[in-house]
Formats: sequence, C-alpha cells, structure tokens
Amino acid sequence: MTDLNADTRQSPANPPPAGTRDVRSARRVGADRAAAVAGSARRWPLSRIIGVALLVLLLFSLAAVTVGGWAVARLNGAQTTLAVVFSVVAVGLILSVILFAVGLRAAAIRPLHQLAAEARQVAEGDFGHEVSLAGPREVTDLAVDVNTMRERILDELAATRQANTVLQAHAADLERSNSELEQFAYVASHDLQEPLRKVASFTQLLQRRYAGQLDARADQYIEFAVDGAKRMQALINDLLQYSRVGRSAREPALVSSDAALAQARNNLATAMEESGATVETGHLPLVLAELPLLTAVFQNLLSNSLKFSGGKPPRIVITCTRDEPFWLFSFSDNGIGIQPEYAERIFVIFQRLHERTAYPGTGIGLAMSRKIVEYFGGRIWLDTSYTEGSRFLFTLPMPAETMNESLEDEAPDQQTPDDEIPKEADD
Amino acid sequence: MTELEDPKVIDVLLVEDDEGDVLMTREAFEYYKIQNRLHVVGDGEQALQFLRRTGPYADAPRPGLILLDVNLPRRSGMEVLAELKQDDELLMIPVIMLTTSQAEEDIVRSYSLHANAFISKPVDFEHFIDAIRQIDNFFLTLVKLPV
Repeated sequence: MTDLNADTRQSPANPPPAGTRDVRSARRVGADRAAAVAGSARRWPLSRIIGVALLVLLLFSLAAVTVGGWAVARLNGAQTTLAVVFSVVAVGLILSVILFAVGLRAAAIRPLHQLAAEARQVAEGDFGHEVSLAGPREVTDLAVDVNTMRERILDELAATRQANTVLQAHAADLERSNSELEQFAYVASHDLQEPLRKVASFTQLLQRRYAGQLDARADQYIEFAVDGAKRMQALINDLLQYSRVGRSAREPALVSSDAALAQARNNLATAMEESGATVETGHLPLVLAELPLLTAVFQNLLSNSLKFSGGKPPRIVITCTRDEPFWLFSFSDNGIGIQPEYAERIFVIFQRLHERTAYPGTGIGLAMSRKIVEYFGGRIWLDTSYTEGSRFLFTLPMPAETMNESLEDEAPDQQTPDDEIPKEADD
Repeated sequence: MTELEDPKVIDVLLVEDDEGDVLMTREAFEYYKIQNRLHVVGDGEQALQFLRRTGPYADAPRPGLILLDVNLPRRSGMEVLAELKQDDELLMIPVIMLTTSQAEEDIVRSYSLHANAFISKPVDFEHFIDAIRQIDNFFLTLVKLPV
C-alpha cells in the first residue's frame, strides 16, 4: 500500500531552474503545506480505505465460499453443479474485486499521486514545470487548475521583474545625472578660479603700481573691481566646498562630537576671544559621521552665532538628548534671532537675510550644514519656538554599538569661556 | 641658531606656461627686491633642457630652486617632477609645486614624488607675493641650498 504522505520530494537531485525559483514563497508554501499535512494526518488516505474495503470484501467472499462449500457438502450429489457454479461465482467475485482495486489504483490513485508530486515540485519553486494531465476527469481538472495557477504566478513574476528593471534603470539614470551635476559644479568652480585670479591680481597690481598717479575716482573704480573679484572668489570657493560634500570615498565612522566641537572652537579661537563668547555644553556623544564635516557644521553654527550676536557677548548653549536611533543636538544662542517665516529660506544656498554691508558672508553656512547633516542621515531645522535668540536642532545617527550607553551629563553644566580652552595644534 | 651668510645670489627656475602667472611672479620678486635671478621656461621639455644644459640652454646656470607648475602643456608638472627625481644630478634641487587649488594639491600629494613643498597659487596678488616672500625667506635666505 502506498502511503500518500511518503516523501517523494525532488529537491537536491533535481533543483528547479534558477530563474523560476522564488525562494521565499516556496518556503512559505512548504510551511503552510506542512501545517495542512499535519492537520489531515488523522484522515485515512484513499489507499487505506480501499484496502480495508477490499479486506472486508475478501472476508465476506471467504465466508460466502465457506457457506457454499458447506452447502455443497450438505446438499451433495444433485446440488453439486449449483455448488460448483456458486463457487465459481464466488471466486469470480473475489477476482473482480481484486481487479477493481488494481484498476482503481491505476486509474485514480496513481494519477493523483503523480499530480501531488508534480504540484509539490511547482510549489517548491519550479514554476516552469507543466503538470501532466492524466487520470479521471476530476484529477485532470485539478491538474489544469494547478497549471493555470502556475501560469498566473509566472506572469506576476515576470511583471514584477520588469517593474524592478525599470526602477533600477531610473535609479541609475538619477545617480548618473546627480554625479554629472556634481562634476559640473566642481569643474566649473575649479576652472572659474583661474581667470578670476587674474582679474583680482592684476587689478591689485594696477592699484599698487599706479597708486600715486591715478585720481581718487580711478582708485574707487579699482576698489570696486577688486572687491567684486574677491567676493566672486569667495562664492566660488564656497560652491566648490559645497559640491564636495559627499564626494569623498570615506565611510562614516565613529566620531566624537566633543572632538568636532573642540576643533571648531579652536578654528574660531580669535573671533571667540574678541567677542567674549562663552559656550555651555555637556558631554557630547559618539556619532556616525566624518570628523572634518562634523567640525564644519559646528563651525558654521558657531560662526553664525558670533556674527549675528547683535553687539552683546555671545552666549551659546549646546545640549544633546536621545531620540533613538538618533542623537538630537540643540544649538542655541542669545543673538538677534531669525523670524519664523524665514525658517526654511535660511537653509537655501547663498540666501541671506541682510544687506551685504550689514553682515558679511556668502550665505552658504547653513546650506552647507544641512547638506552635511543630511549626508549623514540626519535632519537640521530651526526651532521657531525659541525666542531669546536662535536655536538650531539637528539629528545625527547613533552608532549601533553605543545605543545602550548613556551620556554622562545630558544637561549643560560646564561654562568655559573660550580663552581657557587650550589651543591645540592644527591638524 | 642659523648663521646668516652673505646672501648668495641664487638662480630660480620657474616652469610656468601662463603668461599672467609669470608676470605676477616677476612682479612679486621685484616687489621684495629679491636678489635672485628668475629664469622662466614655458613647458616641461624646455625645463629639462635648461636643467641638463642641452639645446638652446647650453649656457644655463644650475638653479638652486625650481618653481614647477602642475598644469603644463604636453608633459604635466608631475611627469617633469618624476623625471627630475630620477636623475642623479638633478634630484637634489629643491622643487616647489605650484597648484591651483587644495583639491589639486591633494591629488599631487598622493603621487608622493618627493616634491619639497606645495604652494597653492593664491587667490590674489596680495597673497601671492606673501607666498613668494616666504619662499624667499625659507629657501633662498635661511636654508643652505646644495648648489
């Protein structure tokens, strides 16, 4: 008796072709099937039913034969023919039952078995395998349905694959376009510097060499020309720096934001001392970033706070709190502040809120900071609810290794005026 | 303490193809009344001829310092530098590479061809002459050059 639950899987020796295998759904199907099989384990398979029926029939036939034989013995002589006929009929009955069973097995059970095996093969991922049609109508109908399902799966797979290809093509296009743009910005900035250098230098030379021989008006012209050239150089330099964010091949690494802040303060040491600035900060955490870029972010923010202090000594407060999976930094000052309606504009490259004569600068600091922070995976924005000056909030990714550590102090407690910071040598 | 010798007049070879930059360098040397003679060639080929005293440069003096622009026609400044440093006679002459940007400096630095120094051509004349003055102070005055 064949057990329909026997393992006739084809996996290792006959794996389905690579292109049609969908591992995930095969596994899921396998799991579902295992559950269904476990559920129906108590049910009798067809072969067992027929086997039992056969057995019963056989027993009955034996009984009939026995009764017949006994009847022959009783009725001896005259009834012998009847008894013989009866016996023959009984044997014939038994034979036909056996034939019936064999025929049923061949006609129905084997095809069912075959269908089951092939369906299992399809379920494991061989969607290209067409299930063969054989056996009674119900079995072939079932086979046809299995094939239909299979075709549907193949169609869906093909559609998904094509959608993926299109998406990938788009992504590649975008990446190429981005890279071209960055390349363009870089090359343009780089190549623009040389002629500019000529303009600036020779105008200055003109000034030097002919200073006494020209009138005041000429001096003024030269002054404006040189100033214009210098400003253009500053813009180009800033544009170059801006376009270079994200072009380095370096991987983000564990960076101490304490170190970045210290470096930024060091770079601005003179300006900080002159303005009498103080910085209050707690212990800042390790983040996933690049040190020079993170330093630039702090330096931009610090420099802005110094510049837009409104005459009074700048007081800067830096704190950091958890905001899994990020660290949330807060950078506040007591300067002239920023009106809420400009909260987004300040982050646009070269956008300035004041006349050039009022405050110097190209207006790239915040745009650069945003580009850097976003390059690291964080966000930066203006806290419009803070009115005693300006407050910038930005997030940086928390390195996985440090997620369970805590900051020693999360509240600002140290107040170190900048001239007490030991000056480190430049890197 | 370094001893101040009688300032020896040293020949400086400037390898630069840009006329404007050449003029600026001359102006800068003049401005500081630098006592050294400035020789100019326009490309790498001429530079090597000058240094080997071949062709039209048979009577050329041996310079004590070379200012070498990175961007030269035909052979790049770095190729010239490489060749200089492979020549037993010439490798001792200090070479200052003139680059146009920090980025360029990084690239050149990565070649580690034993240039003695890099100077980024500064943004304007004021800074340029400052750079020249520092070159003068260091290489031409303070340091004893192997000439």
